[in-house]
Amino acid sequence: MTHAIQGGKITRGIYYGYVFIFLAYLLTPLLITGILAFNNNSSVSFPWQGFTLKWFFSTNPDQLGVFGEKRMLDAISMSLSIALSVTILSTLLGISNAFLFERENFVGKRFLYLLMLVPLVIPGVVLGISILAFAHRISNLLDTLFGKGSGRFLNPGYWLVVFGQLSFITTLATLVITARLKRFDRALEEAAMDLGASRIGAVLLVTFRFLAPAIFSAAVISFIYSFNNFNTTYFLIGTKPTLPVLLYSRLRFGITPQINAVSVLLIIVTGILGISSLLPGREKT
Amino acid sequence: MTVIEAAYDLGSSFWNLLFEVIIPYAAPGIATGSIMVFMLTLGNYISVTLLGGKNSLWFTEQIYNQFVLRFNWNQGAAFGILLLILSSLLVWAGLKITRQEMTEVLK
Repeated sequence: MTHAIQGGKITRGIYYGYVFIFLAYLLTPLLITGILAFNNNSSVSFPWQGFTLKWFFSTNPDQLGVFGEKRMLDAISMSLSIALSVTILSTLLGISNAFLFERENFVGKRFLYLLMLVPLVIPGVVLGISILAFAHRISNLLDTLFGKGSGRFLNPGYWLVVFGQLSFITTLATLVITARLKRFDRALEEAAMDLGASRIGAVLLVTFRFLAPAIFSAAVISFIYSFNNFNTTYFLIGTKPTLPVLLYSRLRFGITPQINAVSVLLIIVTGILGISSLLPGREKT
Repeated sequence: MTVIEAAYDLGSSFWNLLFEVIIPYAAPGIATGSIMVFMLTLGNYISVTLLGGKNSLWFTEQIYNQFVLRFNWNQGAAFGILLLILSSLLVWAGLKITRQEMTEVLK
């Protein structure tokens, strides 16, 4: 390695300085949000007035904590249950898509692959309104064809949000799983079949074991994206808001450090999930 | 890394190395990153409305207002299509200028 690549003291100083400033820029707002969640002050601001956990646990109507307010808990459970549905469905679809595009050849494959990628470059707003308008039409059509109420599952609400988020989260899951399936050596599958495994047995015992880290990553990514999504969800949600939608509607009127407390919980959970998706295998998928 | 060393061995200066070797090699990544960032920014709603102040008016905000507040779906859809065409054109132009394929970029 030449001296110029290593760089002198000054170059390295600039490098570390840059990294520090960049991380500070990203993390300082989160840190301040976190600190203010424990501040005993009913407005979200300094000065520091003592440590308190009331923004997490208080049931006092004027100073509700996260776990003391039913609306907040409802929103959290709504978000969790949507994210869970989306995770399961998108991971299953992602596995199927990966096998389809990686293993099979059929007419129009390139075009369909392109079509699958497109949701990633469509603004979330556009996705939201087009899914809403489309679902509205279909729901009306079902109502006229099969009687009132048969299209109800396509009205804004739980399942419409799940379908809407699936439309782009499936793409993410597919990309993650495809990337790993590409590196799989099919000879291993053939070896398993030579040793007496059935085709399905070989796929389940050999290929899936190889894919497991990618499947886990895909599930975690789907969960995080679904839980944090606002742009698309906002249009498709009915009367029961998800957590990001509820937080947004709160921000318009005065806020209390309760929002900071929710943020702290979100940061912790998302952080743990995000890091855990990087751990197994330590390979970039 | 070996490419970099080869360039130095052949007498390249630092700036020459940067513009002739490193940037051309990283070009696909730079294009992908730019397109992703651009799309995320263009379609963003929360950050621009919260941080943009009271007198600002954003494209995405217009779409939300038409759909959610005024129930004027037709106009909202028109704005949405406009945004879609605008962003698609820009992505397409970006891919063309850097001579790349969408299926390659998003891998």
